[in-house]
Amino acid sequence: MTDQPLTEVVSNLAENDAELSDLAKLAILGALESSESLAEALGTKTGTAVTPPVNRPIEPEPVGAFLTSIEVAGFRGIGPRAKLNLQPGPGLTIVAGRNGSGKSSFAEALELALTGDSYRWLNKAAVWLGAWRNIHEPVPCEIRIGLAEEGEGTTTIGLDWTKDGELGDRISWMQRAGMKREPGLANLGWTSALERYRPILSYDELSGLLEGQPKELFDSVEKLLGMEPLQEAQKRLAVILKELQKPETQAKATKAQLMEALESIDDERATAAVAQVKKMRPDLGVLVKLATGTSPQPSGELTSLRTLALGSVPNRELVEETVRELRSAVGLVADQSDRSLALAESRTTLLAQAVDLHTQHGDMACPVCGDGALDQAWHTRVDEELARDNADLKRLRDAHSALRQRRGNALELVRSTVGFTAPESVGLDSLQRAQVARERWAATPAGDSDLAEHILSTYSELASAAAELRAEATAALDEREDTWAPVAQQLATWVELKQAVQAQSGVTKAAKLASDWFKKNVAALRNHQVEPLADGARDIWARLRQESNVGLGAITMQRSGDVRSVQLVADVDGQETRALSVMSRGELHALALALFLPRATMKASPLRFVVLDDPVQAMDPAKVDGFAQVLREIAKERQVVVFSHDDRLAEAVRRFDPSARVAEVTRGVKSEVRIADSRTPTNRYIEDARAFANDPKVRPEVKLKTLPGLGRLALEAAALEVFQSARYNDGHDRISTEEAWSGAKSLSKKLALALYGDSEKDLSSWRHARIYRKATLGNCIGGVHLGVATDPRGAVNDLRRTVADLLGTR
Amino acid sequence: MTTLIGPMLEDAADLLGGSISAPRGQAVRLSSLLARQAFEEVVSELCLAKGECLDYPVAMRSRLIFIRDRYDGETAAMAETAWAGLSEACHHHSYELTPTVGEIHYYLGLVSKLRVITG
Repeated sequence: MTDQPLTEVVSNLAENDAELSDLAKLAILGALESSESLAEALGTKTGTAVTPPVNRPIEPEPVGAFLTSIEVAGFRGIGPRAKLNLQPGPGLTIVAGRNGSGKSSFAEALELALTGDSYRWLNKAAVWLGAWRNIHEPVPCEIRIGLAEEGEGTTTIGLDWTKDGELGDRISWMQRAGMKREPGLANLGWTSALERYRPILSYDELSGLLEGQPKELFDSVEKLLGMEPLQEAQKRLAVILKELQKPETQAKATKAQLMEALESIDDERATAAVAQVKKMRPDLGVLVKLATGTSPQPSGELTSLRTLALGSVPNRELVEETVRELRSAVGLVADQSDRSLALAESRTTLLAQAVDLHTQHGDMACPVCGDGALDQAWHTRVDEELARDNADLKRLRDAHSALRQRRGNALELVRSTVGFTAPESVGLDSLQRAQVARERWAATPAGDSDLAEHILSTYSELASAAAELRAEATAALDEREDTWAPVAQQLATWVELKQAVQAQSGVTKAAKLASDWFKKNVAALRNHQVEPLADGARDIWARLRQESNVGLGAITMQRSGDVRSVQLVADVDGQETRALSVMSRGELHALALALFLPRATMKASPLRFVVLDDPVQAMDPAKVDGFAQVLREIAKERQVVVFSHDDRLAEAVRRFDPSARVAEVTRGVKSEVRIADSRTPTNRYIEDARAFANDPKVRPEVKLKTLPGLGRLALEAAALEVFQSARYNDGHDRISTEEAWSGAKSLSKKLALALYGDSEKDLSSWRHARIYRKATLGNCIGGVHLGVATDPRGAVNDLRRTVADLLGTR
Repeated sequence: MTTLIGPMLEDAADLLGGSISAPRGQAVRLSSLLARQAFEEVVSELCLAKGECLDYPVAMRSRLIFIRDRYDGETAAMAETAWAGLSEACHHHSYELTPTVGEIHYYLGLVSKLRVITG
């Protein structure tokens, strides 16, 4: 199994993918991390502010742990308190017991205590609801799990129920050595590890895996493969992509509606908008102007209507004022009309010339009439007359000028009223009347008084017709605006969406690229990940299959949409076929084990234990042997606890792994469960030694040569047991413990380690404190074998007592 | 004696394979008997190879303990497994099923491997 985190594999893969844009790469890396990182990578932080930063408790880094005990009272098949002690450290323990002995209750108690909060219990609990509490002794009802945590020491996990509590009413807690109780198991940090590595496997679960729905197997295997971070990343990308594509999706969804609305109304803006909206790349600037009404419209119905609605007819006061002024000017001119301006002007000119003549040439006879004389008196009189005449003339000139001015004003007034025009399509009923009125109004007569009269007489009709037209135009305009406004709103919204689409098109593209990349690569990664698992499975299967002619070939995960399955290719006498269809129940079971054991024993798993509940049902003897060998392998690095009702497994394990322990669970009356821990490795060597010593047919020399060896094995096994318990309960880790043990090369050093925790300590005082210890160590270490030769049974007794003393120091 | 182990194992295999005919339903049982005989010979050789003769009437358990003491765990486990399996197979049990051909093949395999160890 590869221990490189999958996320790292993915990161590297993405990093080196030339087809990905830099932004897409960043998106992939961000997606693997968290939604926040993804949003940051894509620069859409503000957009995803919907998810407030929840104070999600970060799971503490889990530490390695071994099980030291499972203690149960009043739960399932166990009445009075019963405690199953387990040897912390790597090694194999078989908990054997007949069906109904209560052994499975221990396994269930452990599973409930550790994984009770996980979803897997939801179904299981239903099966149990009626019978989870022991019927004989339901109170007290509690579970205690003893753990030896690396770096922490002994830790207890507890589940308590009150007298009437239901299964779900349990109170869960944990307590580390020398610390206070903490509610729940959060601080263990095991939740995800338990889910991923699944160190607790029961028969039901195993058989269900391959016999159940293909997709369930797929999901389980995928979980094993650690694909969740990838799924999470994909989900995160999908969420953000959906968010990013929202404008586009909405724009698409509303486009038809918008088109319909635009086409349904009779408005030139709508027509212009339709032309744009239809386009692949509509000019959003134009559409914005259309929607907001800032679009320049040189001609057209709306302009006409707007002009008409504004109304360009001068108001009555102005008209009357103008007419009054015109008339007064006409009157003023008329007052002076008794004098001819021309005659007066000619006469004045003549007189002015005569005055000039007199001024230059002096007195003379009048050159015009010849009778009079131009003299000084005349000159003075004429000067006065000329001055008077000039004033009159000025008044007259002024009156004429005023009249011209007023007439101009009046004409300007008329002219200022421009023609009423509107395209016929607008269909204004009052337009013609207004046009007629205006034409009449504009047909001004020549005379000033006539003009005044004309203005007054035509104005009323004009004003009335214009007012009518204005009202009609306004109404028409309002109607158009009323129809347009909502459509304009719709258009504006659509344009906003399109603008958003344009604005983030680069980001959306990157997110899409990243998402597609995941889709493309996850399948390959999945099968890449499954390969080591498949190797492990094939390896285990090879040992489990024994007589089966079914070999295990490729394991591939297939997913297409929601249909997912695991394809297990089998090789039956060289013929490839689907594994699941050719395997017997027992074989399926073994296969499930083969699939799941490699994961449970991954190096990355902090859970140093693997618990199997009744794994060998329906296995034939040869497979049991194979399984025992598999377990022995796993037990080299893991604490393996196997609950089994099948004695064959216990026997096979004892043959293949002498260091394995077998605890026997028996259930007496009233659910009183006892655990006999007699079949320990130490006891086994002592039993062997005793059997060998007791065989009268074995010659004494052979006994002499063999018994010390068995004695050494017994002592060593006992010393290891004592040493491991002490080390792991003190919170030491496995590596240093194993190094210390393997560093103690001789039996004396191992004994010193067990007794004093120091391999260099002198054993003499312990050794000499009891005569049987002295004899035993003499036999086994010192090479003083006299006792063995003369009294082999006595030597075995001494061995037994010495070992008991050693174990007693635990 | 030594020379007999090979032929016994061959015959046992032939019985299983059907090339030696046996009364109906007895092939497996006969094969087991032959295999056990061969196994006992192999155990004797394993003991002799370590310089001790632990032949009958020394109990098989003592011999297996001796082998565990003198050989590696794998050898001891194979010997114990073969012994346990073949003893079962050679007796008629009122409740246990007759061993399968595959199982006896498996035990024959173990005996052959043990024989290789003695050289």
